[in-house]
Amino acid sequence: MRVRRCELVLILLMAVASPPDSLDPGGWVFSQRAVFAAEALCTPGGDSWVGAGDRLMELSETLELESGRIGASLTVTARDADSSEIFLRSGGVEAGWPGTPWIGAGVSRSLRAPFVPGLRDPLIEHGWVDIDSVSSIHGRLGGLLGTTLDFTEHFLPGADTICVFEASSPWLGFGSFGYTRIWSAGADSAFDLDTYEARVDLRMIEPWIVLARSGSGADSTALVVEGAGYSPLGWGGGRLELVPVFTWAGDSIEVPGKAFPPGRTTVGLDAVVRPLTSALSGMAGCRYDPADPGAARGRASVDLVSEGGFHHSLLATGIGGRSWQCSLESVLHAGRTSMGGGLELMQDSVRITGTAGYSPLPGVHALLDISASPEAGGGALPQPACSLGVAYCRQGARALIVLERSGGVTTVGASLCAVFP
Amino acid sequence: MRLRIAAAVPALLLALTLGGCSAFTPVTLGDPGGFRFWYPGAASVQVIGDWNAWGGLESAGGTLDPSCGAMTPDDHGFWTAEAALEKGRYRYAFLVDGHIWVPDPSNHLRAEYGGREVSVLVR
Repeated sequence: MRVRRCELVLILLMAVASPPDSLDPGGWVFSQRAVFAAEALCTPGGDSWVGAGDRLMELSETLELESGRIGASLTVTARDADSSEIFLRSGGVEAGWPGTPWIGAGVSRSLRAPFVPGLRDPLIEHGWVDIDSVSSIHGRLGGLLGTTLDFTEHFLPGADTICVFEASSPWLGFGSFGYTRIWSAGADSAFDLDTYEARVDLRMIEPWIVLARSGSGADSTALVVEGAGYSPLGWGGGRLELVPVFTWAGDSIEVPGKAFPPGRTTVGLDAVVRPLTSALSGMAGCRYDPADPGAARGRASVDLVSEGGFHHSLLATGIGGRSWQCSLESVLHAGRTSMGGGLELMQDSVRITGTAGYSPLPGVHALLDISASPEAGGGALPQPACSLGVAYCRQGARALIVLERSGGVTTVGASLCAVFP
Repeated sequence: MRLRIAAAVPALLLALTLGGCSAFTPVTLGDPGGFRFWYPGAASVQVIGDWNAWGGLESAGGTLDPSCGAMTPDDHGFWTAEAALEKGRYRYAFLVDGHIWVPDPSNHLRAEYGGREVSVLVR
């Protein structure tokens, strides 16, 4: 359905003039919420200021109805970009057994997409499938010590389906356990992944274990073990925490995310400074692959907020003897202004950065960033880059203008978003 | 030469910190509950992560909700927010002025989200 921009504005005005956001007639709670977003990107000097694919204006209106056992949600969006349309963005109904959050069922469209967290990197990442195209049905059963069983079947375009079964315990005082199976069947993809996760509190340290299998045989198995919470040293301002890490993945493991690179074994240790009452934090860590010693990685970083109003940050990374990078930045915040500079050193280049900020009023902030590489291009071209952003934020609304110039190209971006009420 | 500079800078900072220079003396923090981020003058700061669909970026439509995870400033330049999270691990970052992504400077356990470096919260 095509709509004109004036109709979008009319819808916006109706949303603003709508009744209070929450009503409670007879045990049913009704609420509504609207989000308006508009953005445009242009390159001055081009054939046209704003191309069809560089602008977007949309308004989403969400209506929710809840009682003790049934919840319903509906979001309708009006969009004006390369084409104008009004469509059902998401909607769903979920019913629960009275008195318990562990028993229920629902049907939805675009309310959730497959996501399986890991320890550092997730096993299944957000954005793996286009959420706007997902419809799903799900059921939930549980109750024994708070354990829940969840099954969700996602229907994707092209007759593909993704099924997710999750069994998880709550925190039992000494640990928690979980099992997730996610499998896909369809013309475009087919995989089957089982993951087991355990976390145990041994008082001195909390081991976290994730075991993943994408088939039969050791080659299709992966394991990551990490110890959290071990603190051998503490002082008034903070404590030192040591985090050992071990990752092993068979050659044939198939995990959509980046948590398990096939065929890699890695051991590592992170030493993390956790601030408690002192604004000094940092870490030093290393990763080592016995099969590829040259790919050993190291990393160290420090952040310090000083009594004098400075924020210092230091980062150094290195991969074997092949490459390294070090960056240092200090920014002084004084009253409404801030200014600072930094230095980025790599094995074959240097980059100098500068920043300045000004906040004339609460909720208004302008920030200028500049950088240049004196040695880039054989020492002849500094390759300067700069960006200027001005933001205004007040009562759920935000306006932003960003001007960037890099590589001789200038771009201007503007956005406005607001939430009602 | 660059390697020497890279090694000398941390040593100099450490010496100034231990020497008691106010520019390198860490400021004293108060109650550490919830999220806390020091950025005086920012127009807005949000804490977005796996638990709130990254401020709406991972919900249907992918529109950033400016009120999602909104943090509150105090008079000393600290922005704070509470989040009732169940035990687990979450990736998160601070979003300054709606467009500047900053991993938590007080939490150096890092992961990646959308090509950006973010922090990992263990709860």
